[in-house]
Amino acid sequence: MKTYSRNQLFSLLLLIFSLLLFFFITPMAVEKGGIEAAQDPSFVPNLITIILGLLSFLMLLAETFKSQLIPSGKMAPLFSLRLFIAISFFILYMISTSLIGYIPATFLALAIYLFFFGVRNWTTIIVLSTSFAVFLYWFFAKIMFVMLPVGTIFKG
Amino acid sequence: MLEQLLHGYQLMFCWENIMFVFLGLGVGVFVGSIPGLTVTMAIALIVPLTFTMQPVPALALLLGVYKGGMFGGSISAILINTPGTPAASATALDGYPMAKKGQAVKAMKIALYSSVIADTGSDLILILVAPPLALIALRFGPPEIFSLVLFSLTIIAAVSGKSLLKGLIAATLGLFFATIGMDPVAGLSRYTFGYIDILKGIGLIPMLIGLFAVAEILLKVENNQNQDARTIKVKISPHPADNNVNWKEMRGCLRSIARGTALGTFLGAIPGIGSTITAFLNYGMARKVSKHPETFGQGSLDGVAAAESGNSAVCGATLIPLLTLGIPGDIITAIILGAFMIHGIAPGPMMFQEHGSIIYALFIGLMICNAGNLLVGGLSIKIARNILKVPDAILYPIILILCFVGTYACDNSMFDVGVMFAFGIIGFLMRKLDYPPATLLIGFILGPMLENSLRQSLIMFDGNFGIFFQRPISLGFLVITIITVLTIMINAYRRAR
Repeated sequence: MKTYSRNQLFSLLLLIFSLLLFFFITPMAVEKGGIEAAQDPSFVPNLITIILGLLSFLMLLAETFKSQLIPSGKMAPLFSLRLFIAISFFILYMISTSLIGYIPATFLALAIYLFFFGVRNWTTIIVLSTSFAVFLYWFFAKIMFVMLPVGTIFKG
Repeated sequence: MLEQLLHGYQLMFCWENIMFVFLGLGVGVFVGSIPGLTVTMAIALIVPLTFTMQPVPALALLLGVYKGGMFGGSISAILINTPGTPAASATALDGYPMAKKGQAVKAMKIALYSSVIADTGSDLILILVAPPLALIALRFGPPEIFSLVLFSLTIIAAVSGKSLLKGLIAATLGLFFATIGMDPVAGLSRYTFGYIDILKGIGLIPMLIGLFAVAEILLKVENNQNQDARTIKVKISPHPADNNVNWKEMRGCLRSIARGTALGTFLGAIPGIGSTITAFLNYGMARKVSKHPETFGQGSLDGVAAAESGNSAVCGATLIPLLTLGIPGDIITAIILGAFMIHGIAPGPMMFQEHGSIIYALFIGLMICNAGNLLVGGLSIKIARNILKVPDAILYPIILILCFVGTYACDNSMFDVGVMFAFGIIGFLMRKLDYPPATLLIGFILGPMLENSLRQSLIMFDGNFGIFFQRPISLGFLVITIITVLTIMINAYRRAR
């Protein structure tokens, strides 16, 4: 069974996205301004959407004419499980920073990432995680006066 | 004049001031090299510390930070493909591939040399011909800026890589992302869906860090599993030729550096243009005139020199409208303008008469900064090269955490961190699908300028699109743009055949 190439699929997605933008999203999500081009907030977004649509269509045509139809079985997945785990860790780090504050969350995140990337010596993991989290806190909060998150749990 | 020059020399040449210059350079290089920390932020933090200082040491310190930061951004761009400042994005295009070939030190050295040469050239132009240049720059109204930005978009062809179409799609996406947030003319919301955080739009720093640094780390995560050739471990070559820039190589880059100096000085004198555009423009021009354009993007020494000279030449040039007319050229000079005023100096045409000796002290200070940048930059290269000795398993988690904190520090916003990560995933997908992230960034940077100048022009001239063809400078840029686009199309057609 033959299927479309990744480039064809992506340009098709972009074409659909630009059509959605032009006909539904922009009219709905851009506030109405003046009628003249200069005062209309949707003038430039619409112009860009049209260009995007045209370019995606051209890309789709170009890829179709190349006629490189690849069997679906040969296309490697874009995201591996390992990548999915790394992304999940980061989202958890963002949530935990808001909940438990910068220092504990950074310590945990760094320790997990060090282990994830292949460091197996626990002393190295603990020393690096602690020292780096504290150093960054000192530099950003004390020197650069950045208000790092305290955490909603410890706020009250 | 000679009396003022001598007085200026006396004011500047003391150990205290020179120490402040070096301190500023050190802070600038350090801050510039950390993704997320901007030179603007460092200068804004240092200004209050200068309240109690005399004007000359205060300005020496601030200018040191400014100039040091311009070079500092290239260190992380070359070593870890993460531009420390937006202006260093163009440096990463060839700097990082050079690092992958084991030539990280060489790339950093040519970045430093071209940065210092272009900066010195720009300062000399400031000293010698600032007033007439400022007057020419002031003739740039919205129609001229629109045509200039339109011309700047032609650099997409130079950084698109294998597929021009993919480069154009990425740039258009960048233009689209730039429209998210508050409309710059009417102040109405666009694509915010009721969320206040989105109203300020997508930040440049979160996007930059995401597209380059986070995407690189995500590729690294994949690499550990699949051994992808796109993420080769960066190492320092043991061969001296890979770690030094010889005279022949330097001579080969001089043309690009000279062009970068001229371009950066001219465009930098126009308020609001900024160093990122000049870096990309000079990079694009260098590629166009190069005998070996195919080496650009693959680790070309000339590419690094062109990008770095283009962005550093803006340093002195942004001071041209500031000192001669009292108009800051960018955000940094706006803060420096504040520092001037705190010390009772009002920049503008009268400044040369009222505070002539301080101006000459400042000029001498600029030159000391440039010489000092060579020393501080050289030292920072020696320190920074040690980063590559850190194992990947330790380096990448640290960079990821640094990206998180650096992005958060920009605006104390967790929303920005989310944006950064989203662009990390977008950057990862773009690399997987062979879409160039640099063109998305160019579109994003040029987008607001293009829209502002277009709509301002239309408002000023009652919606008349013909205005762009009626004003000579604007028409000139449009003609160059059309010629460039035609050349690109003809070349693409020839290649396809």
